[in-house]
Amino acid sequence: MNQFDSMLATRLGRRRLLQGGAALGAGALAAPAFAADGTVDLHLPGGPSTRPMTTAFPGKGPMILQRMRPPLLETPLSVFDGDVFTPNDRFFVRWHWADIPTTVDVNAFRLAVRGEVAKPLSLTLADILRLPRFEIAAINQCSGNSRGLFQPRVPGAQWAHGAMGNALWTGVRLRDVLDLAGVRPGAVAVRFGAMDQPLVPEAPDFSKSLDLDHARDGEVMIAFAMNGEQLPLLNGFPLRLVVPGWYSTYWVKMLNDIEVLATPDTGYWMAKAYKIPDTPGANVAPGSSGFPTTPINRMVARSWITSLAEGQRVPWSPTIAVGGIAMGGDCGVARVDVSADGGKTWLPATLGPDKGKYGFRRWDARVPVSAPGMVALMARCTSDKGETQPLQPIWNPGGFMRANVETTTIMVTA
Amino acid sequence: MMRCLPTFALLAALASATLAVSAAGARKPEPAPARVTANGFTLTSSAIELPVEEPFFPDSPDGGPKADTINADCTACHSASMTLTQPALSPEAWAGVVHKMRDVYHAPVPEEDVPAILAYLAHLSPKAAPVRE
Ligand code: HEC
Repeated sequence: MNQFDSMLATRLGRRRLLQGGAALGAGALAAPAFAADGTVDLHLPGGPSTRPMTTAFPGKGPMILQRMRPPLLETPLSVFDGDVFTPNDRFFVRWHWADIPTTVDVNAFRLAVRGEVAKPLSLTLADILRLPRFEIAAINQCSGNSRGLFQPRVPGAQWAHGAMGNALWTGVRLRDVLDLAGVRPGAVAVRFGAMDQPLVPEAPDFSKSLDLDHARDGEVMIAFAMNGEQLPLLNGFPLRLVVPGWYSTYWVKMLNDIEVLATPDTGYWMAKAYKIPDTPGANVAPGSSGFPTTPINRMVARSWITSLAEGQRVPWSPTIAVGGIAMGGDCGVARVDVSADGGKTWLPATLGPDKGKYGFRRWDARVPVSAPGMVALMARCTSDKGETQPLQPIWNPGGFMRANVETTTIMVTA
Repeated sequence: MMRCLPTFALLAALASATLAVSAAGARKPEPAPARVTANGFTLTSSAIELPVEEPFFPDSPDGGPKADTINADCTACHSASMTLTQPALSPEAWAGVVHKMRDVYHAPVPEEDVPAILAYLAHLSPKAAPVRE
């Protein structure tokens, strides 16, 4: 394909992508998330920063297209300005290997429970539906959410802030399923495997594991529904693991294999990938190496401004309304403070209703603006554990766990 | 001109992918999908069609490196956009990426293709600051 062909492809492609833009309707007016040509600017330092919007994925509304195959679809920040529960059709999508089953027959599906158990199981979906129900609100956030904002930049999926979502998950406790099989004494961990496969047989199949005590804590669950509906296939139909308060890498989609292990998991995706520096805040000096590492684990406090977009023009008034969402990480949100002077002074925001400590919490505030001009708005969350978001970004080579105070710069017009 | 390659190529690669989707339109009526119901919740069999793409890297403009080698070796497992969305990376960081693809993910990339791939990638990242892999 030559330059001209690719230019043509871009034009034709954009026409489709444009329709997606129009479909967003009123939501787009509140905070202009993307341009009229169907692209969005993610404001990634040094670029490339522009991505198309797409509506080409079944069951998904307009999403930021990071990668077609296997899909990486990002949720526009404006979506989080709606309900604290992210709609299923706007929930982010992330797969590692492209061999993703596109058909799942609910009668043929089986969940294996095996390894260090008294009675290996092959559970049908009806078996799962008959177990005691469990429900929890929890944020599913990619370990590399906001990786594209790291400086210096690092390789990996170049997400802005939309590799996350909050849902009300319905399903069964993992503990109940493990107890059905009877975990043998001496077991230490539980590994989770899924229906997706690598394209090259000898490449590492995706699987993750949790310590046995964590797996049996009564909160880790196997979900068959999010926000009251069965999971969209692209979010892991028919079953996915939910690990409240922990990063999404553990939330194995299309879960069909549970293996109880007698020794710690030494597989690639636990031992080599998704490792963070074992340092405070997972922070190391850019370019350093040789530091001790540990598997990524619990999430930390974050907050975002969602009512105003980067670069938005707002008519001047003595105070300006600003709102957004916050999360405590593996606990609730204690408070959110806002600043309209780049972090010099802070004002408390009003928190919205608490819909679960592992979920998003809405916050709203009015900030004083003395005169028209550029205004750097910030939000800062303090969690129930007393962790407050730092102003300074961290750095690590994997681009994991960004959680510093973010800045949204708006233009206040006369 | 060279500066615009990443964004331009990226949009082209991402957007071309959506062209094939409309083909799924007319289809014979199919039997109702299977269901499983218990304790008041129903799960219904699910089938989707993922958008199909023509994966490609465009040739570099200005007579820079051609894309045929990278197109042959680097589009089997993931879209070109995985590579085209990357920030400017140093030659060492790109070498690290290619090494990881071959070593860890078993990408079938012949040794003799590596220089052409690295030349193409270096062209994507003019004056990259050194970034560690
Ligand atoms: C055998 C399959 C395979 C082939 C072939 C392959 N890759 Fe990858 N690549 C992967 C996987 C798996 C990932 C991780 C995907 C994810 O995280 O979603 C990846 C990720 C990447 C990333 C993101 C950075 C990172 O380290 O995760 C880049 C850039 C990349 N590949 C470039 C290339 C290039 C250039 C080639 C050709 C030399 C190539 N890939 C060929 C499997 C492959």
